[in-house]
Amino acid sequence: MAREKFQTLTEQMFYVLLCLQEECYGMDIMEKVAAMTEGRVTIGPGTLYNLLEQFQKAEIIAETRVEGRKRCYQITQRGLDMLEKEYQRLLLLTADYHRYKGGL
Amino acid sequence: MKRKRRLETFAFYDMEGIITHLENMAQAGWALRETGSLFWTYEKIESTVPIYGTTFFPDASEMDITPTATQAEFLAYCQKAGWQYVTQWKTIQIFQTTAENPIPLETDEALRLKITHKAMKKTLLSDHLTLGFLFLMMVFFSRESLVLWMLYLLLACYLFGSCFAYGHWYKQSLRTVEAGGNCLSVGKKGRFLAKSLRFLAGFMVLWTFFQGGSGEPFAMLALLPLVLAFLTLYFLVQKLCKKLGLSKKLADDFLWFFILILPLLFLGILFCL
Repeated sequence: MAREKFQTLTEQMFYVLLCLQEECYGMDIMEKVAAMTEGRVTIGPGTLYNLLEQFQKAEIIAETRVEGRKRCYQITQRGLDMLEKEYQRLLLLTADYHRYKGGL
Repeated sequence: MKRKRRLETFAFYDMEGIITHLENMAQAGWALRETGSLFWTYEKIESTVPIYGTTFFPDASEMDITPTATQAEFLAYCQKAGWQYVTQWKTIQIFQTTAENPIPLETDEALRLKITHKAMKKTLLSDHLTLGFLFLMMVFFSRESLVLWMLYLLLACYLFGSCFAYGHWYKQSLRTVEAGGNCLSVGKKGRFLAKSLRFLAGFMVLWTFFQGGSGEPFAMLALLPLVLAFLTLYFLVQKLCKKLGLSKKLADDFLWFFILILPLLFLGILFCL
């Protein structure tokens, strides 16, 4: 079944939003996410560009300033709520794992 | 620097096929420099063999002389990740890198498929479906000439067939991506079909002219240089529109006028004579 847009976040979406809790140049997100996850999660430039565009359209992030070709973004309240919701969902998954590990 | 041109016939969404081909060419010492509607230009390279990557940028246009502001921003993202921009083929952006294990341009298959579909709707599908219906209409208007009837029908079949092939690939890819997998490869069958359909359409156009429709094969043969001249003129006009910096809409409108109205005017004049 198709996932409703942003109902659950992919790993890459999650880390992009986590990054943007502080104002950040879009271009720098690739390095920041790689550093945050010690190389476990990588975001391609094409994917990042399109994600930022989608997030901006959905008002999950907002552009804060532009310097030539470089744009700065920061997460909005709506984005923060989405991030929190995803965190709670992941906690539920973790709890279910601990509860049912080894079988029902 | 030594250069050569090759006729390339890829299915527009066959990213894997394009990348594999470019890397094979690079291994053989030829790096891509420019793309065209039919012919791509390659340059001789001596040193490091690059790795190629492709991605769609739906807002790009072959009429853009230089990248637009948003496209330049997109290219800057790719450059930051170590990818050098080579050229574009309609909305496909082609990059190269000499880095070992570079970050792929696209790391989210669902998003990649979505952007591919957006680009396809904007370019191939709209053009092919419009022309397909146009040729289908011409089938009804040319019932008295068997040759023209066959030609228009075949061209309509080619255009609708390409759209159907893409639609099939898209549906299958959507299914696998929703299940957590990757977009499907176009595969040997799909590539063979894309090449075959294009060559078949070209062959039938030529065959139609050589056979003649009304028992006048030599008259049709005489028309062939005219058709080739028309096609050459079309590509030159397209290049001129690009050099003049016409907007995509204006250039498209002008080229549609060139394809549709001018031939009709010419046929009308011939008929009156």
